[in-house]
Amino acid sequence: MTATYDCIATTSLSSAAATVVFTSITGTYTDLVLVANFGSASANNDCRITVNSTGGGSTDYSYTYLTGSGSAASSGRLANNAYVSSYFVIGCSTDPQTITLNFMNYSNTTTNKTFLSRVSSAGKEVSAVVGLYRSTSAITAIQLETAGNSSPAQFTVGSTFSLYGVKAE
Amino acid sequence: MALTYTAIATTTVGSGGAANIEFTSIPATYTDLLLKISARNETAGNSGIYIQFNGSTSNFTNKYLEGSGSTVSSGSLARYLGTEVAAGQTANTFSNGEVYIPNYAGSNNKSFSADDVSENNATQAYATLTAGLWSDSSAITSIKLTLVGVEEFNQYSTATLYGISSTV
Repeated sequence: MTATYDCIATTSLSSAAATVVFTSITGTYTDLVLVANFGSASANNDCRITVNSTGGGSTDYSYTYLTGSGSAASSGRLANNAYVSSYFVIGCSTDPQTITLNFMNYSNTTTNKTFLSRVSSAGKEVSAVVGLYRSTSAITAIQLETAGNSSPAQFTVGSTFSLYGVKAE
Repeated sequence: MALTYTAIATTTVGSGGAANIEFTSIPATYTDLLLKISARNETAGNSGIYIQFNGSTSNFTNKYLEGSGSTVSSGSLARYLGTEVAAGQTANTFSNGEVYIPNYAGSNNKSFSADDVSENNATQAYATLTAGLWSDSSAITSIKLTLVGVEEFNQYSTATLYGISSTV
């Protein structure tokens, strides 16, 4: 049987870092799954997702989130943004949180790219986010960055990030 | 390329039902765990499904986001994963859910993510997203699923535990 779910790359942080980047992503799979399990050095920062090194001045992203704080449920969205936010993450190095990202049909060069995010932070919130990158380029790089209101904005030591390729055959 | 997705064990509830579904002696050889659940409550009334690690019911916290078909709510209910289809609701209909547990064998506290649905063609059904945390640094070696109170899983309920390896 053909393997349909391969680990393309994995990173475990040996020192705190603000960004984690997967580059040179092969176009040979159908979909991508990225699993992040991390601690955050500071509270009230978020985890920002960009692809193909398009952060900074880009306005090619939009996203819609559905979130529960433990006391209230809400939804919101942001258009023409420089990134897709996983929304807020808790600042705690010992209580890891999990983000699972699904990129469908990531390597085609015909359609804009939509991706799904599930965010689980038991100390802060649970969220589902849908993101759009308005570009028909194949996704060849994915960056996760923690940033926001508090310093230092860093993923803590021991945080892990794994990228899987899913093949439909 | 290394195999990344391996079925560790699967359970199907037999006639008479079962008070719980449990996986024990989980090897530490994988990176993450994924638990897939198809379950129904043998007793009437909506019933929550709950998780335990290593036989412990302590030091769990969570946030959940839940839609019932008419309202959406968020709350905190330790170990809660969702609400299962129960006796008296549409026959032969089971809830479905999955629990993703990254770094289950590591020395950090254990976070997990769960999605659960209980569609049953009735006036009320639930879709639940959960963020869970077990504040314990022990490696997870067993997982137990229970229903609220003394209720039991219906015959034909199934659960499969997968190990996911991030070996490149």
